[in-house]
Amino acid sequence: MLYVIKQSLKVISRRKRNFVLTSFVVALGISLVVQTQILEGTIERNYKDIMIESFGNTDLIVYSVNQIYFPQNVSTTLIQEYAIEFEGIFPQISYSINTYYPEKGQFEQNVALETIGTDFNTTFWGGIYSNSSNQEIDISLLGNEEIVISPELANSLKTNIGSQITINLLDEYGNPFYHNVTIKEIYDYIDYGRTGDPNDFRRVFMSEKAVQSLIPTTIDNPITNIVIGIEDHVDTPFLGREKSDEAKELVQSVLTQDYPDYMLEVYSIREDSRENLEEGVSGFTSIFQMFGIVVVIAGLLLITNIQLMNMEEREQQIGMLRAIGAKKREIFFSYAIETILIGVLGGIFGLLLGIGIGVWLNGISRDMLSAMGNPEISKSIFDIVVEPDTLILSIIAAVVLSVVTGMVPALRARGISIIEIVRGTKTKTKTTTLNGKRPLWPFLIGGLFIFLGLTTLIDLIQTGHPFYSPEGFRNIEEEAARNFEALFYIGLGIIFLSFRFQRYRRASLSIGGLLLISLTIWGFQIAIDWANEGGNANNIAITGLLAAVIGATTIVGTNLESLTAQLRKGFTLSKRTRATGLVATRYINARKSRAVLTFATFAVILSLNFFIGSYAETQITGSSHTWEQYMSGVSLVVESQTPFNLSKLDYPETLQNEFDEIKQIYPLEVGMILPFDGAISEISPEEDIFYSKLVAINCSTFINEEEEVLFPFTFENMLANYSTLSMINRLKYREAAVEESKNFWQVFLNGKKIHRETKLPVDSDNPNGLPIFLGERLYFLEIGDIVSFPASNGSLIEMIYGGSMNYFPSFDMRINEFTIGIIVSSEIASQFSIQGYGIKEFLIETTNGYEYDKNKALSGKIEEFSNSQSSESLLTIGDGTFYGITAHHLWDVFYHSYATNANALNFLQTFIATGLIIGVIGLLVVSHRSVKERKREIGMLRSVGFSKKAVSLAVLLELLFLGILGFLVGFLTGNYLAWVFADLVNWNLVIPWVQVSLYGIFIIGSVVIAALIPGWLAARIPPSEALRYHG
Amino acid sequence: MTDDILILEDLHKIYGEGTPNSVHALRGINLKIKRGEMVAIMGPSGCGKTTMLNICGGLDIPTSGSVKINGVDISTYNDTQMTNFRRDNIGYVFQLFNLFDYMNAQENVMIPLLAQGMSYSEATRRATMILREVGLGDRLYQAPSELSGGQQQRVAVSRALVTHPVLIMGDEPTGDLDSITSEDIMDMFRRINTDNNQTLILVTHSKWIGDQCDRIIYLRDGRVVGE
Ligand SMILES: Nc1ncnc2c1ncn2[C@@H]1O[C@H](COP(=O)(O)OP(=O)(O)OP(=O)(O)O)[C@@H](O)[C@H]1O
Ligand SMILES: [Mg+2]
Repeated sequence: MLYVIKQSLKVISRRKRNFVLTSFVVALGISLVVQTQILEGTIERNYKDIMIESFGNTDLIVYSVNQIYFPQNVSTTLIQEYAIEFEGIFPQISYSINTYYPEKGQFEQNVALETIGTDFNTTFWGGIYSNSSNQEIDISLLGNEEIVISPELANSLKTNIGSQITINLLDEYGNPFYHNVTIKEIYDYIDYGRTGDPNDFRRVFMSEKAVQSLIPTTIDNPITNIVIGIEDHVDTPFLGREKSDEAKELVQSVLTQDYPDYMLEVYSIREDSRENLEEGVSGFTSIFQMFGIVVVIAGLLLITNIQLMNMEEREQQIGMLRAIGAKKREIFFSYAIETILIGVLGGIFGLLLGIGIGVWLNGISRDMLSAMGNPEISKSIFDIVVEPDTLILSIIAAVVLSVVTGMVPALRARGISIIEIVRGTKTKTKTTTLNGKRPLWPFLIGGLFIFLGLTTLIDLIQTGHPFYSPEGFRNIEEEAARNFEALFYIGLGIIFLSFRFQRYRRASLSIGGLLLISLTIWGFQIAIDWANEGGNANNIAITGLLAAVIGATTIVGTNLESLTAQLRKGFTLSKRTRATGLVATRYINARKSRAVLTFATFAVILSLNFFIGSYAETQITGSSHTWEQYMSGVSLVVESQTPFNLSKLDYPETLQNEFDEIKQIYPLEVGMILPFDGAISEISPEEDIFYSKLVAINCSTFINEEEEVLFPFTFENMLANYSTLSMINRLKYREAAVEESKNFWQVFLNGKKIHRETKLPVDSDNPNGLPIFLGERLYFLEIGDIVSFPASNGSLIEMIYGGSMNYFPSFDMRINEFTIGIIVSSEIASQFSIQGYGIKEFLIETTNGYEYDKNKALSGKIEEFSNSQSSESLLTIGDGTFYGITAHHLWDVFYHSYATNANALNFLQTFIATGLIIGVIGLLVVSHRSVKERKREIGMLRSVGFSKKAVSLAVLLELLFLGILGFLVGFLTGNYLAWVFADLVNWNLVIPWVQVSLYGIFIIGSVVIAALIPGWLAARIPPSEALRYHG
Repeated sequence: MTDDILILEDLHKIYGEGTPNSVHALRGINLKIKRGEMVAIMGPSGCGKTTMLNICGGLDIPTSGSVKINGVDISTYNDTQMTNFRRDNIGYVFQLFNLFDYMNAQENVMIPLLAQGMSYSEATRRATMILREVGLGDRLYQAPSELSGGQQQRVAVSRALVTHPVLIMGDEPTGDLDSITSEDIMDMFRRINTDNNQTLILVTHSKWIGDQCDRIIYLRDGRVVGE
C-alpha cells in the first residue's frame, strides 16, 4: 500500500503542472458553487433579519375595521384576560403629522407620531435610547409639549434639542391645526423589541396623554391599535402559523363578545408579514436560486471538462502500465489517490476562493446599492452569511464529482483490453463501443425515466388534466407541475435511450433535446404564474432551466457534425483557411464531448448574462414608457399632507408668476371624506376632471381564505369583503382585466385624454349608466356589476362597474395596500358628501418636458420658495398654521420605486459576470491543456507545410467556433427567457446591443487569448522536437 | 543546375548548445545526393540519422554548415520560408505513421494540398486518385484507427507523395511493419523512384531495405563513415 502511495506521488510530481492545473480548474469550479451558496444564504438570512427587526416582538395586532380609534379599555380587558399567557399587551397610538421648524423654514411631512401605553411598559418591549446619554428615554415622563425625534429628522429640519417646532394635524372635521412642541430628546435607536422599522427616521414620540389630546376623536383615552407579544417568540422568531392563529382566535373571541361596536379585528401580523415578505422576495430569491444553479452547473461542466481530458490521457497510460505488468489494483489506487488529492486540494482552494469572491461580491453589491440611493436597504441587506452546512455539502458534492469523473478511467481500466489501448491511436473517441459491446446502463436509466414519465402521464390522464391546458394549468398547480415532470422525464429518457440504440440516435437526441428546450418555456411560465399568485415554483423553474441546458447541449452536440461541415465549407472559400478549417472542424468532431462541454459552459453562463441584461434593459424601457404615459405631461407634483385652503388658491398663480418654466398647474382636490369612517375620495373642482380616490382603511393585507366575496359589491357588503379582497385569485380575472383595459371609456384630465374608450354605453342622465373604474384590486367584479357608495344624504349611489384600470392616474405615489381607487364622473362625484375640503396636490407641467436635471432643480426652487414664506404666506391658513409643501419630481418617484428592482438586477448582473469571468479563466486553462496535449500533432502539421500562423489559427478556429456557438445559443436562450418575462407584463423586449457587443468582444477576446497563447507557444516548438513528443 | 539535389557541407548539430548536457548529434557531415537517387541511411541507434533527416527536410535547423537542396541553401531560411519550402518540396513518412487521427484517410492525404492552397475539390480528386493507386480506394473514409498498420503507412506514403515533392524522406518507414507489408511499402517507394524519378532518402535499420536502395550511407557518432 505504501508502495502504491509512493508510486502515485511520483506520478503526481512528474506531472506536476498537469496536477496543478487540474486542481486549479476544480478549484474554480468549486468556487462557483461556494460563492453561490454564500450569496444564497446571505440573501435569505438578511431578509429574515430585516423582517425580525421591523416587527419587533409583535405577534398579534388589534385594529378596528370601522373606526380609526377605539378606547383603551379594550387593552385593559385583554390584559386582565391574558396577562399571564402573553409576553406583553400594549395599547398604541400611531398618527401621521407634518413637522415644521419655522426658524429655518424647514419642513418634513408624513412623520409618524407614536406613543405607547405607559402603564404596561416593560423591558420586554424594548425602548428608545438617547442620542447623547445612551439612557433609555421614558416616554411617559415627557411633558405635553415635548417630543422626541430621530437624529435624521433633526438633521433634515436643521434643528436640535431644545428647539421649538410645529406639528400639523387635522381636527375631526378635517381642518388643519398646528401645535408647538419642544424637542426634548433626540433618540439614537429603537430597541428591536419595539415594533416598526428601526431605521425609519420619520418616527417621533410623545407621551400617551399628549397624543391623546391631539388626535381628533371624541373617544376617551383613544388608541389606534394594540400590539401583543406571545411568550414563545423569544426563542423562535416565528411562532408558526398555527400557534399564532390559535392565539389570534382566542383574542378575537373575547373582543367580538365584549366590544362588538368597534369591529375589532386581530391579525397574526408577524406570520402574515412573514408570508407577505417571503412572497415579495421569493421572486428575487427564486431567480437568484435559478441563476445559482446554472452557475453551479457551469462550474461542474468546467470540472468535467478537465477531468475528461485527464481521463483520455489516463486510459492511454493505464494500458501502457498494464502492458508492462502493473497490477490493476495498483493502477487503480494510484489514480484514485491522485484524483482524490485533486478533488480535495481543488475543494479547499475552491472553498477559499469562493468565500473570497462571495465576500467581495457582497461588498460590491452593497456599495452599488448605497450608490444607487438606497442606503437604508443596503445597510441591512447582504451582510455576509456563511452557512456551514450548505457550504460543506456543496463542497462535498463538487469534490465527489471531480473524484468520480477522475476515477472513471481507473475503474474502467479493469475492463479495458490492453491491446486496444496500446495499439490504438491516441484518442478514445468511441469509448462506448470500446469493448465492442453497447453499455447497458443508458438503457436502464433511459427506461427508468420513460417509465416514470409515462406512469405520471397515465395517472394524470386518469385523474386530471394531461398536458397543458390553461384552465387545468392555472387552477390546479399540482397538475401543471406533474405534467411538466412527466415530459421532462420522457425527454431525459429519450436522450439516454439513444445511447443504446445507435441507429436512431440522431433522431431521438434531437427529439429529446427539442422536447426539453420547449419544456423550459413551460417551466418558466408555471413559475411566473405561480409567483403572481403568491406561490413558489422554484423547483420547476430550475428544472426548466436545466432542461434548457440539457436540451440545447444535446441538440448542438447532435448536430455538431453538420454545423462544423457548414463551417468547413465556409473556410474552403479562402486559400489560406482551407487546410486550417479542415483541421479545426475535424478536431472539434473528434473531441465531441470536450467540445460540447466547452460550448455548454459558454452557453450556460452567457444565457444568464443575456437574460439579465435584456431583462434589465426591457424593464427600464418598459417602465419608463409606462411612466411617461402615467405622467401625461406632468413632471412635478407639489403636495401637502395638510389640504390647501381653497380660499388661498392663488398659490398656483403665484407659483406660475414666479417660475417661467412652469407651463401649467393642475390642482387636484382631496380630502373628501365619505360618511364612512376611513374612506376619503378625491375629486377635482375642475369640471372635466373625473378623478376620485376612495381610501379604505386596513382592508387588504390580511388574508382569510375561508371567507367569500359578497355580491353585489354594495356598501354593506364592502366591509365584509375587505378581508376577502386579497385572497382573490387575481390571475383568474387577469385576462379579462387586460382585455378590459384596452377598452377604456374616455377620461380626460384637463382636456388631456388619459384613458381610452370603453364599450359600455354611457347615459349621462342616469347615474347608473355612468361606469366607474376601479383599481386593480377589484378584479373580481364583473363588468356591469352594480357597485354602491354612500352619498352625502346617506343614501347609496349605485354605479355600474365599467372595468378595471391597469394604471391609475394618481400622482400620490404613496398609494398603498389600503387604497382602492375609483374613477367616477363629476356628476357622480358631486353627490358625495364633502367634509374636510381642500387641495392636496398640484400637478405641474413644465416647459422642460421630461428633462431630469432641469425639473429636479425646479422642484428644489419651488420647495424653497414655498416653504420659506412668512406668516403672510399663501401657505398659511386661518390661525397662522403653516403647512408647507413637498415638490416631487415624478421621475424620482419612479426611480425610487424602480430602485429595488434595479438593485436586484444589478446584483445579479455582477454575480453572473463574475461567474462568466471565472468560467472563462477555467476554459483558458482547459484550452492550454488541450493544446499541450497536441504538441506532437502540431509537429505533424508543421511537417506537411503548416506555418506557425496556420497552426495557431487552427487552434483559434476551434475555440472561436465553440465560443461563438455558445454566444449564439446563450444569446437566443437568454433573450428568449427575457422575452417570456417581458411579455408577461406586456413590455417589448429591448436588447441592450452595446452590452451584447461588449460581451461579444469579451468572449472573442478571451477565446483569442485562450487559444492564441498556447497555440503560438506550441507552434514555436521546432517541428522536429514536437514530433518526438509522445502523449 | 547540377545533378545533385541535396548537398550537405560540414553539417553540425548540437542539441542544447551551451548547456551541461548538450549533445553533439552531427559532427560535420558532407554528403551529396543525386536527383532520382534512392538512398538508405543506416547506423546504430542514436548516431544521428533522424537528426540529419530532419535537417535535410527543413524540420530542424543545423547548428552550422549548409544544406543545399536544388541548389538553394535552406539552412539560412527563416521559419516562413522553411515552411513554404517544406510544403512544396518535401514529403515525409514517419515510423509511427503520424496520421491525424481525427481525419479520415482521404482528408489526411488532402491536408498538404489544401495547405498549398489547392481547391477542395481538386485536392479531393488527387487524394482519391493516389489512395486508389496504393490500393486503398475502398478505405477513403476510414479513420486511421480503423486501418491496419500497413494501410496506415500507405496513407502516410500517399500523403508524402501527393504534392509531388522533389525529395521524399522516410524515417524508418517500415519499422513498425511486418516483412510482407514492408515489402509492399518498399515496392511503392521503388515505383515512385523509377516512375517519377523522385529522390528518396530512407532511414532504416534493415539491411534488406538498404539493399534495395541505390546507395547506403553509414553514419556513426554523427559522422559519415562509409557507403
Ligand atoms: N531534442 C533533442 N535534445 C537533445 N538531444 C537530442 C534531441 N534529439 C535527439 N537528441 C540526441 O541526438 C542524438 C541523435 O539522435 P537521433 O534521433 O538523430 O538518432 P537516430 O540515429 O535517429 O536513432 P534511432 O535509430 O534510435 O532512431 C541522440 O543521442 C539523441 O539522444
Ligand atoms: Mg531515429
